[in-house]
Amino acid sequence: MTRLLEHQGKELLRRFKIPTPEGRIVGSLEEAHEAARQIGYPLLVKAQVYTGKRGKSGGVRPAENEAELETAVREMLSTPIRGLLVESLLIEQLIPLRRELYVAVTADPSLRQPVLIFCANGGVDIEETFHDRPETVLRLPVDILRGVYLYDALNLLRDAPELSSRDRLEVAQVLCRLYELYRACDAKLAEINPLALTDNGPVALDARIDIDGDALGRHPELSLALAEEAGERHPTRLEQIAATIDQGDHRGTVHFVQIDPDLSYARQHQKVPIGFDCVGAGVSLTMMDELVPLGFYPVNFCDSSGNPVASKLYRITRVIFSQPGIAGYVFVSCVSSQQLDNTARGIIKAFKELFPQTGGQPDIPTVLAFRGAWDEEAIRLLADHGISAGRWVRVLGREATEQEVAETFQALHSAWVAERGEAA
Amino acid sequence: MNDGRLEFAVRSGGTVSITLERCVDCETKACIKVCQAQGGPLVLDEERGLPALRWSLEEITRGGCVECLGCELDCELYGRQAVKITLPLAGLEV
Repeated sequence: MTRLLEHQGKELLRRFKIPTPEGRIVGSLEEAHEAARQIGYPLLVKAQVYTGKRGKSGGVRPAENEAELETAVREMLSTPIRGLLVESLLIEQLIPLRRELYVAVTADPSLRQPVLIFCANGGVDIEETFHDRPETVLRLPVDILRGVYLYDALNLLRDAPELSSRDRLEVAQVLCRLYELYRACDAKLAEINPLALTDNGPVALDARIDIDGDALGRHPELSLALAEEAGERHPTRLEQIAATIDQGDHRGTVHFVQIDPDLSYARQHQKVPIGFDCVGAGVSLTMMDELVPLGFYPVNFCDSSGNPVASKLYRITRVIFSQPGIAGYVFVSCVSSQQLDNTARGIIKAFKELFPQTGGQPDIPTVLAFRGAWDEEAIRLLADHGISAGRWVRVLGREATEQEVAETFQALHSAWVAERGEAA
Repeated sequence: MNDGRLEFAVRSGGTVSITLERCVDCETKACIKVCQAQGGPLVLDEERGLPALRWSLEEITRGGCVECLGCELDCELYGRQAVKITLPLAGLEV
């Protein structure tokens, strides 16, 4: 899934003829002044970060004049919102409104259909409204072969309280256009909260659009970076690079996400940051469960499974070792039908290029556990190429459990630290 | 073939380059053996004592080569270090 920032979502809404306030995206005080001159006061200053509840976190502030604008821009560009650095702000016209509504289109897994959602109580705390007053939330499942007609949306709004006929018609039009956007952009969620009712018709005051990550290749017009879903933050440079490995090549996959890109979590919790790759997400989790209590912290998640070609393993191993500060590497396969000799070849080629001075033997503690199809061949290849003989390398086979892999790594790391001392 | 090299592009975006003059005296032809051991479309075959392609360049680039990297690694150990595979990754110095 790829989540769009508010201003990107609003750009899409405008393409589908859903009105939004006039706004400019800025990254400095000078740009904010220029935007204010073009739009005019009063304004809203909105932090562009991937998080909800920005209003309650100081991420949305009104500005009636230049002084308030300066204060808001300076503070917001220097203060993280829910731990996220603010790199850009949306300076937007403040719209006088009569009422705030909630509209959305999303997939309902239980129905296996998209569903239109409307709530007359939009704005802040919509989650609480959904939870405490579910009867106020109106839903309409959509047959994707048939689509949505205006009268479908009008039927949905028939039970909406205190909406005039004109409001009902205009909101129904917004719902139809939002569904059109949802389908055309391969969205997983298209949400407007709030949708303001104004004297000039409905206006989208916020936008949350999540695009199906697997469909990004079909939407070059969105100019979005391919990357694995990484929670509510921008994909990192390495995640974007890693995502290109699978782009257009479906011979197995390498899913790479940086859990602790700047190693801050590992340092704060006095854990040893290590690079990490597993064949299978399940074995990744069990390996993390074994490694973390022993004092190690995989700073990335990587699942290289589905029988990827060796060139993918080569590339992703290069990416994993590009993470600065890692003091070890663990590779473990689950017992699967993946052709592990190919997996090993990718790793061997990467090691030889990463550590040419030792003929491919890593100079940080490295444990490789091959368990599954062609595992004996994989282990033989590592021996033949001299990798297994490395002082800081251990290669394990199918008999090794996750616990044994972790303990082997711990013993190796302890010896490495003892020899390197402070340098480690 | 180009300047005594056998070169072909692979599907993921990369190049396999074989310096054929080194293959003349190679007794193992390890690159061909490992290619045929893959059980796939057998990209490499021997022709007049040298590695040659069994498929067109288009077919190989379309996925005929399964990018096992075996030709380069086995040639390094058992052959004459004639094979070089280059696999670029945009944004990363590789």
